[in-house]
Amino acid sequence: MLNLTPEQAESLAPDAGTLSRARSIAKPANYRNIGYSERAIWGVARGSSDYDSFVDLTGPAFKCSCPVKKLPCKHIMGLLLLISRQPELATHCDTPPDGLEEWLKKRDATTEAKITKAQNKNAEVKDTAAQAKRAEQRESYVQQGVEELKRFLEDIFNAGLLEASKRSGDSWEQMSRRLIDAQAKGLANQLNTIHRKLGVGPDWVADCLTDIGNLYILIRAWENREQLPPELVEDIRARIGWTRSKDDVLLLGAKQNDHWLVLNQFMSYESDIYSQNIWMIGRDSGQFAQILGFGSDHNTDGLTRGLTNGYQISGELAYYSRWHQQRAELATSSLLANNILADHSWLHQHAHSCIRTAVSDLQTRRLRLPWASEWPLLLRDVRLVMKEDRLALVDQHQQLMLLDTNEVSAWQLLASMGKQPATLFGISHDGETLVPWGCLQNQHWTAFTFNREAQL
Amino acid sequence: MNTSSVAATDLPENAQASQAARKALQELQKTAIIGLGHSPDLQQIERHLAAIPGGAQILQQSAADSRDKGQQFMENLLLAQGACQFSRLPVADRYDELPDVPAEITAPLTAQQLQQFDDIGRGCEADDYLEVITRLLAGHQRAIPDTKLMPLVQRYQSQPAPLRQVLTLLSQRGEWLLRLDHQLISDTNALPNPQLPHPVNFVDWLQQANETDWQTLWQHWPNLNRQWQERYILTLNRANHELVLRFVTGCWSVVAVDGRERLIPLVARLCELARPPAPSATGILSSLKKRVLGESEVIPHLLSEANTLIVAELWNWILETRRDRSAKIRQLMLPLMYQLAQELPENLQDDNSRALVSALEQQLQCYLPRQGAHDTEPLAPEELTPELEALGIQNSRQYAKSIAAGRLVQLVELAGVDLIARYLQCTAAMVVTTLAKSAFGEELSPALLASCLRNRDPAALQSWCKHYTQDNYQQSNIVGTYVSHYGTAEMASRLVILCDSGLTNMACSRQMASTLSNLGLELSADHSAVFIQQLLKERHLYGLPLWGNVLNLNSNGQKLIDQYQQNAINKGNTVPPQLSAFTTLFALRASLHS
Repeated sequence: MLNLTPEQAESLAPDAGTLSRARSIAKPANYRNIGYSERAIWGVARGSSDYDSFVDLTGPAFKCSCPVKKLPCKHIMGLLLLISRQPELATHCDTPPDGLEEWLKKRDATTEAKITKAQNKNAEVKDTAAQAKRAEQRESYVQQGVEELKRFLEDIFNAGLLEASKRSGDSWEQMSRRLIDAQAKGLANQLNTIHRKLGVGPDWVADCLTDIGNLYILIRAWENREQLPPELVEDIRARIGWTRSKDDVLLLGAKQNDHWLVLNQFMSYESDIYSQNIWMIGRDSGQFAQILGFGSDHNTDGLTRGLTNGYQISGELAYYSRWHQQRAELATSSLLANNILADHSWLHQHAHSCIRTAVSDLQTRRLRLPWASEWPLLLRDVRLVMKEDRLALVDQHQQLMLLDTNEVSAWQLLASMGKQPATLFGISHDGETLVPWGCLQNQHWTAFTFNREAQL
Repeated sequence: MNTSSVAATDLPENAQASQAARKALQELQKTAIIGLGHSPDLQQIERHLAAIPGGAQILQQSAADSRDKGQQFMENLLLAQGACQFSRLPVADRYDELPDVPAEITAPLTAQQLQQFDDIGRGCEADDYLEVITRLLAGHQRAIPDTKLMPLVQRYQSQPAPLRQVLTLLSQRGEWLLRLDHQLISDTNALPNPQLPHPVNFVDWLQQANETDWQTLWQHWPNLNRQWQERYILTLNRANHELVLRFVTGCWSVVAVDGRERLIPLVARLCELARPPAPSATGILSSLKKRVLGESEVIPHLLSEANTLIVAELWNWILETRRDRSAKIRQLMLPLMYQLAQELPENLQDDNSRALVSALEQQLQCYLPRQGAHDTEPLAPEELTPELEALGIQNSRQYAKSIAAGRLVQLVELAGVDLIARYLQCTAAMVVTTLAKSAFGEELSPALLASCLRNRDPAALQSWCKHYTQDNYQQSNIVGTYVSHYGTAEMASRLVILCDSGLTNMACSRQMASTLSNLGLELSADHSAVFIQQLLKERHLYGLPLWGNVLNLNSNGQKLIDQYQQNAINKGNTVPPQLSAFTTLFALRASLHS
């Protein structure tokens, strides 16, 4: 029988309107010929005319014969909602309907072509001298950009930040453009961030210095790249501006097969862009994985759908970096069908019971990659207490860690943990405070919602 | 809070290095602000950095590598930041324990009920959802569970009125949460007052209250926001007449004479909101509100159903109150006195009451001259005569654009349609018709409505509605509001019947929905059918008031909804999601009842 939860089905909706319309048609009378295989779900929606609705569980991907272009449409969503509530309505069948089979074959062919292209691309890189020359040329451009940036920062300190904040933005923008010309977009972005912070807020000097420090350490790492391990250099290059496509990562990234518990997922919306941030942890490996996704109102293909907090999926991830295995892409197929409610008891095994040890471990990891800004932390047997009007965690050794409740309201922590010890997952940006993301108490996983949470 | 202390021996090993790094970072910040050009000496910074383990060596190396001060500065910055940021480790420290979670005093909702709330939420707009759950929970003395409470608090954080409405339904744990999360509730008066009993226990508390308790209650009462006051007063629905009256007189007894003016709004509020089984007491006392707050709205006097004992008690109380030193209070009591004087049973009438009624009748003769049988054309008093002034009538533009018309409005409101009917020898409904058609019809509208409601005269009210609410949504809402606050089930039923005569706005207005719900009115089978027919018309299907109305539908109404749903499915039509939510709503209401 299909293992699809209503929450999971709802999370696939492209927008609230479609979901609302889908709810109203998610009734047995509105569908016929509902079936599923290991690969797909299908059904015929009855409306003003009949519409064939298909779901490819790999991806997942959707197709409907209705005229709506934004997928999944209400017919597909209605079908998913219906069978998530009444899975017995779907008949298992290994032979999908004609239209579906054709579509799946087409999708497979496209995927295969992508992989071949990525493989060929990598093969070409190794074999073609021209590629090597272009790579060398890019390194040289970046090197020039880095040197100019270093001089720019030195000039800033010679004049002083106060003076820099009063100057017109031209010099900063010019430097930023120079870095983009030098194909170091990552550095340009960091510079723009510093520029935006100048003179803003009560702690702007400290904030700017921290960011300049992080930028400068990246510059120094680039300069010393020949002495550094190649895995780290890959990371530095990615930070500076060398991009890796999802297909490249899936093909070349460090793979990890495991049962992944979805700890929480956060979606923000800024400048017309949806940014998705999903954290998971492997049951066997204890490794964290962060999946980032980006999309717009018109294109949400880059966003990962169908994951439910507190549930686990079984499958393979590909990490972007071999040096710092954190950001990853899902390589697993048929996520929906494998989704099972997680038994969370194993989570304790991967959690730190001592805050000090956990932070010490975190600081060691930070030293390996000082410019990274998000560090996952899993703590067990910690309680909520107050430290000078702020919520904090305390462990059995009475060691404290302050909680940052700007992004996640304190009430969620209080409501789910109360005064009882719990296992808590959070992200630290500075090794000092923790932004809580979720907690486990009484075998129940609570994923906190974020104040700036955006809905599609 | 309990304070837990630990031995301060667990300091980090690199505390000295951290301290040196922090000092260096402070110096670096100062230098960074003004620039190296103005702060040529980096030696002070380097002295601090040298105290960091390995710092001296790094400094030496960077000095050799750096080509200028700018680069050297950034190298120093890296060293200080690294030492500062990456060496931070948690320490054992003092902290305060969270306060204990208090035991719940309301029965928790079952998992099924919680699920039903979710299902309802999916089928309606957010504001309707709030209305539904607050009505259901407050009506059944239940609290909002934490999981439902907090999203509502966050949603209405910047909207004080709905937020306060939510907060009156706090569970003990919910209150505990909100007191700890200072960011959520800035207005601490929005939270329950720990000095007062919880509204759930209020009736029991009142029964045993002594003078000290009255003083405590009165001390904190004025600081409670309106929603909390209402929540307390609504709990008096469970109380008997005597207890409601005791509540008012108990507070009155402990308030200093000069402070009684502040008590009157409480009394008025109490009278507005307290519902049957205490209608008589509240009805009598509600007249206290008249003009007390200087509000323009009409306050009905629900004296007709008051029992003799309470009318007598109130009459004595009012006479006593008149002796208060405050002239304002004496003035405020006048309308109530005229009202009471008219309502006193024969055996309780005295010279005072007869004189008051007689004075009123004399003024009616002046300004509502008889024109044939049962007819009159009202005249606006051109000046404020001593006789009118004695009745408490004032020169004010509050009642009408023209001051003269305002005097007439006050006179009609004071006399009421019953007395005018006796004077004109006709029915109250006919009085309404006559005055509504007169030259001052528009100005007299609120006064006539107040009088109809005060007299609980459905026929008169129906007459008023026919003249004033035809195709007028605003007026329909006004009636709905007043009937909601001061009316009876009988009156509401009469209004519903008006649907038949084309007054669909009345049936489908949000206020009407509140009316029916507040009155706890379950419609008859026939009225349910009328309602459903109105509501299922496409233009009303998604209307907000539906929720309130559905709460009151009887089992026949439910059957009609089921039939409609089935028909839609059979015909292949889309079934509005609200309809399935209605069914859930019925189930939830039944479950809370049980």
